[in-house]
Amino acid sequence: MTPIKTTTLFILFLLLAGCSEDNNYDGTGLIGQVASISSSTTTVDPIVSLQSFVFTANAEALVENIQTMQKRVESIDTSLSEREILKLQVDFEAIATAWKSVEASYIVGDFESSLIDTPRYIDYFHEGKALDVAADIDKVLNQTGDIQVALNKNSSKGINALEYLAFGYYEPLSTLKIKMKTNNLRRIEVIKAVLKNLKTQATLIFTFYKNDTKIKSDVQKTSSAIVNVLADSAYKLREWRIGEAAGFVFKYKDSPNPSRLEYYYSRLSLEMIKAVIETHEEVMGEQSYGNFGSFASSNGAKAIVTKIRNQINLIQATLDTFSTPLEGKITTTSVDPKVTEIYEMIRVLQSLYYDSLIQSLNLTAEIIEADGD
Amino acid sequence: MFDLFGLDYFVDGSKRIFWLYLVSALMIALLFFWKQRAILKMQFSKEVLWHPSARLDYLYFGVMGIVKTLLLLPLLVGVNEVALWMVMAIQEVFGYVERIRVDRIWLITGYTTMLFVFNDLTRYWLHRWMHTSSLLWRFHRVHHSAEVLNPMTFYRVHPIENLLFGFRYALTTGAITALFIYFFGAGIGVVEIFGANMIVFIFMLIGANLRHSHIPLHYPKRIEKWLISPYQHQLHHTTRYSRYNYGSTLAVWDWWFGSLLYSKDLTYIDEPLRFGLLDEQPTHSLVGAFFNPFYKGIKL
Ligand SMILES: [Zn+2]
Ligand SMILES: [Zn+2]
Repeated sequence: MTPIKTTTLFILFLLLAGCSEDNNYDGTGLIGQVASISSSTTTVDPIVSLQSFVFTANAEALVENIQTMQKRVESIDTSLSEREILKLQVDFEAIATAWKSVEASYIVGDFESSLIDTPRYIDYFHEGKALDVAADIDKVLNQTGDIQVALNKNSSKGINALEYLAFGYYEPLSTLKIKMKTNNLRRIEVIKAVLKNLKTQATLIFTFYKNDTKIKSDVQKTSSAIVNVLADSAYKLREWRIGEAAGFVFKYKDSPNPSRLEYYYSRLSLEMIKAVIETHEEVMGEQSYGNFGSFASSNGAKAIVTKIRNQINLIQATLDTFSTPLEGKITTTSVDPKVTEIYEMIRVLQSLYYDSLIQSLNLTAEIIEADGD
Repeated sequence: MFDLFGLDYFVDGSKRIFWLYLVSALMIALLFFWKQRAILKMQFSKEVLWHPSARLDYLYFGVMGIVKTLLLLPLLVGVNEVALWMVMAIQEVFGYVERIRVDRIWLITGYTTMLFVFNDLTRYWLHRWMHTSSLLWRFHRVHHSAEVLNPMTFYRVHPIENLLFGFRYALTTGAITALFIYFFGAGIGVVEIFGANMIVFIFMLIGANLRHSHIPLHYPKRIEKWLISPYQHQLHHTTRYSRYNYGSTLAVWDWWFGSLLYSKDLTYIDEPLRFGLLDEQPTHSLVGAFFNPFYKGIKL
């Protein structure tokens, strides 16, 4: 090789080597900035506090609420009163609310593959068409054999089963009292079995959050997981939990039916929607503790975080104006305009999560580059 | 002001004339044509670099910086808007799918590659369409009216063509992004070097600027099947072969869709090529370049 060729090759090599340093994929959204985290002074404290004040705390509340109900059913005997049934229903609401919070921010699956499916052992909403949890439970109640054997379906041990057990088809307490006492308090025994399963699953989640160190050590992954779960949660909230019942989705176009609501038996669907949005607020909103909102905000995504916060507040304020359960706002012939309004608002929230993600990809750079060639 | 006249293009890795790409093109030219001084001398001669056609290229580049900033950018539908609209639409039509869990490294590699491949494909088809549609050819002939080639000729593109390519980019990138978000969620990202897609960066670095030059760098046939060599694009700039080699980076589109011409297929490869249009005396005026397409003849 001639000296000139050698020199040229050498310079080319240097150029190439120099370039590899500047390898990145960051931008201006929720996730992008985080890419450069290791080299910057950004603190992961907000992620640590998010994990303890939101993820772990909600999972712990779920475990505790299950234990509270467990204690109550343990003390029940044949002298069961309507008042006690009412208390069971209150216990159920506390469990369901805590569960919605855990579910709406469930990022465990991204860090621990053995826990990917855990939510499916708790909640059977929207899991398979043919599923009729109430009918399955009725079958179990009408049998006389061993309860664990009768409860052969996982779906009969989930939170939807618990709802039906505590509320029937939203039946009067007097009716429920009779049903509970039937067959040697078999309904109470089934409740115990369901609670046992729920506690096992909830404890798995709580234990993970409490002991985990991966969430704070891989903030890039955590950020993606959080945006994913919030966008998914917003989608499911509007499409599954509102849209399907209100007849807004393609599948049930213009044929509303309140029985498609998630907590139709207990008439608690509105409370659960509120719980989901409150979780979004816990993760993204302005809080006394650091969270993902403050983390993203201090990493350059302030504008989009502000938009998300405003949208969450707007949704919360609108939900607070609902005076009756959601089940009363949707009939087979009409849908309250407020339901439409909230559906659209959650749609905006979901698109903001996607927007934050898309912005972080920094795709606009070469748009106007003349590439006719 | 710096931005307005396009000077920032020289320091922006996502632009064709980023200083590093110019330097690397020069290096490659020196490396391969050191023995053929005439070729190198020709490229840097006054006849090529100060030809009226080349002078129009420089003027055009400066003016287009302003046109793009003030006129085109506000007109364009942003890629972010397209991506957002599409991901929401896909989800509403096809419903929710469980996210596919892929290692981040594969996700980013896949997304970066898909962006490159599909953008290259849509560039091929739009470029081809610019030639086959008589209406669009009116605008694309501005680029082909260059009689001498230099890296700035890349920017000698009518604003209407810029606009079309802008829409093409937004639609392609928006669609790929929406699909990736739909199936894989938030973990996606582009591997970038100096702000350019890594694959694009590599191809720019290995002599993309020689496409618009008189340096006849060609590849062996088995490579020209996959990658368009600078010489293959130079052939595209001749009147005779302008219906071949529409490709930007990958040659496979030309190969699969029947418009590929290998450098070696030509017997007179050592002869210098003649660039430009045949049908008229070129004016090389800025006003003409901007306004002629709206009323002038459309022959090639
Ligand atoms: Zn060209
Ligand atoms: Zn062309």
